[in-house]
Amino acid sequence: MRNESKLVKEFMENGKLVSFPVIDAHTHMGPDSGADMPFSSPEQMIEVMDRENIERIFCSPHSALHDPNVGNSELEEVMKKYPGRVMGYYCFNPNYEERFLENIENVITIPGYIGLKFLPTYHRYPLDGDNYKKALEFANKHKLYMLIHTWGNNDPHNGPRHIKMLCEKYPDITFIMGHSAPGELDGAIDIVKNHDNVMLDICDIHRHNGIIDKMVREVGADKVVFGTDMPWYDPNYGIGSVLFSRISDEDKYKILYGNAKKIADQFEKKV
Amino acid sequence: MKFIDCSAAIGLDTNNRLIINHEDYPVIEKVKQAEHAADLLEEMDFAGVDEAFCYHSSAFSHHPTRGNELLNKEVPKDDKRLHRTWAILPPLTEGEYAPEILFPAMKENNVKALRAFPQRNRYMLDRISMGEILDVMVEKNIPLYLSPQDNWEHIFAVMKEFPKLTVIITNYGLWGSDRYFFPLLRAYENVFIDTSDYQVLGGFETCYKHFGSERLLFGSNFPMDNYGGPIATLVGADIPMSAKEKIASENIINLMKGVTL
Repeated sequence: MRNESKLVKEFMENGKLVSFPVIDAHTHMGPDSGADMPFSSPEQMIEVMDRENIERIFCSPHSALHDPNVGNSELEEVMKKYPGRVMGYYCFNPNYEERFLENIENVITIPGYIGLKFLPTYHRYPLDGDNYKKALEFANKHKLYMLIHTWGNNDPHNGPRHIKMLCEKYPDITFIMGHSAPGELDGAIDIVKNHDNVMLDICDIHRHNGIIDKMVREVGADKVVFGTDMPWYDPNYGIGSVLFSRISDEDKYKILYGNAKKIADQFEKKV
Repeated sequence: MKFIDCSAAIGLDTNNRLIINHEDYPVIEKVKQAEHAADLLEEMDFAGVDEAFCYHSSAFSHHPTRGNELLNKEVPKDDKRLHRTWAILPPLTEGEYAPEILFPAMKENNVKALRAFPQRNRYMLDRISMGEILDVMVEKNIPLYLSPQDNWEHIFAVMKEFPKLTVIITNYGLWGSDRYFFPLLRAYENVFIDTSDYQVLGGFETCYKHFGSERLLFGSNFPMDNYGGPIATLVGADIPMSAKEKIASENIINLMKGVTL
């Protein structure tokens, strides 16, 4: 093997990273319609985190994203049960704007929240729609992080152009571009290059050959966060995508842990 | 651990590159391709992968025959690390795929596995269109690589008609596909799964529990997937080391040993 990364050697010897843990900044929880997910319960995910040395996750459960009957209650229970292991994004469904605004103050009163999550493609509601406005104003006022599902190939709901508009209008929100707009990664990169309050998320798109190298080359490792969509995917797949890329071990550390740890620390201090 | 990649592509794709995300949700994104065999070998060396069964991207994006020809130019037939796989077409319209021509050519060129892209090339992968090839493939234990692309129906259909056919399911997208391929693994003993896209959490562990380690083949689906993801998923899986070694290389070695050209 020509890859001389000490971290790769460490992973291959131990089946996991041991010199530092990982933080997964884009996860879900529970079952969902599109696939069988054998390890999706909170307990199973914590067990996997222990085995794969994942310190904590930033989570938006499927129940909160897809079931307005349940809202964010499952997430709040899990954050309470696993403090320091599960932090959360308050999921906001614009099709039930009033209902989700009713409890949005939980984000600043309940320990564990770091921000909000929007899922426009799946909610069939575009990011420039009015129903997001109050949630965005709330996030801006409280300087929150916002994980937004982004997709390219002319997706009318959440392309890079939408993020460009929002990050300029709401400068105190830090936007994490979920998946980094597959199909329009170049557009996502352009926005991150030119705006301090936007980060790339490697979730899903990391699997394609050369993507991590390109992200770091174009925007620097400080603006790239590690996400996996767990339990859709095994974090090891994403960890391998980072470890076997052609970037320095220092940059791998930032992506797998350092950048998200800085986010977590901001909100742990507030609790 | 020795790694043999069951499926990788050489060459430039028309779009660089249409990627199966899941069945009805393809993505076109720029990836780092391996234009020539030497480029793929460099990627393999960097990742610590010993050998690969490969095809030429043109076999999918342009034309199977052209892709096969380009592959033959890139990969010597007796290469120790890269192994040729060819794509096929219906012999009634493309006579070079008639069994009396195809199978001697495979022997001459040391090709031990074939690929079919029935949706892309617009034909039915059934006895009516492809029976004369598929019957011989069953007889000779020649594996056929199939990707669901936008649906799985042709894979289920061909297995119903040719239950002894050896099939390697590849390029099936990143969403978990256990609901599709677990029933196939249960029903047909010669169905195998390329692990390149197998990243669902708990996938390896669950598949191992149901079917043991013999039905999974380490793969990269390069360049749609990188090498690091599939390697780390296997190395970090909660299954015995002996199972990992089978998946990493032993299963594909045994599968290809059974081929009689």
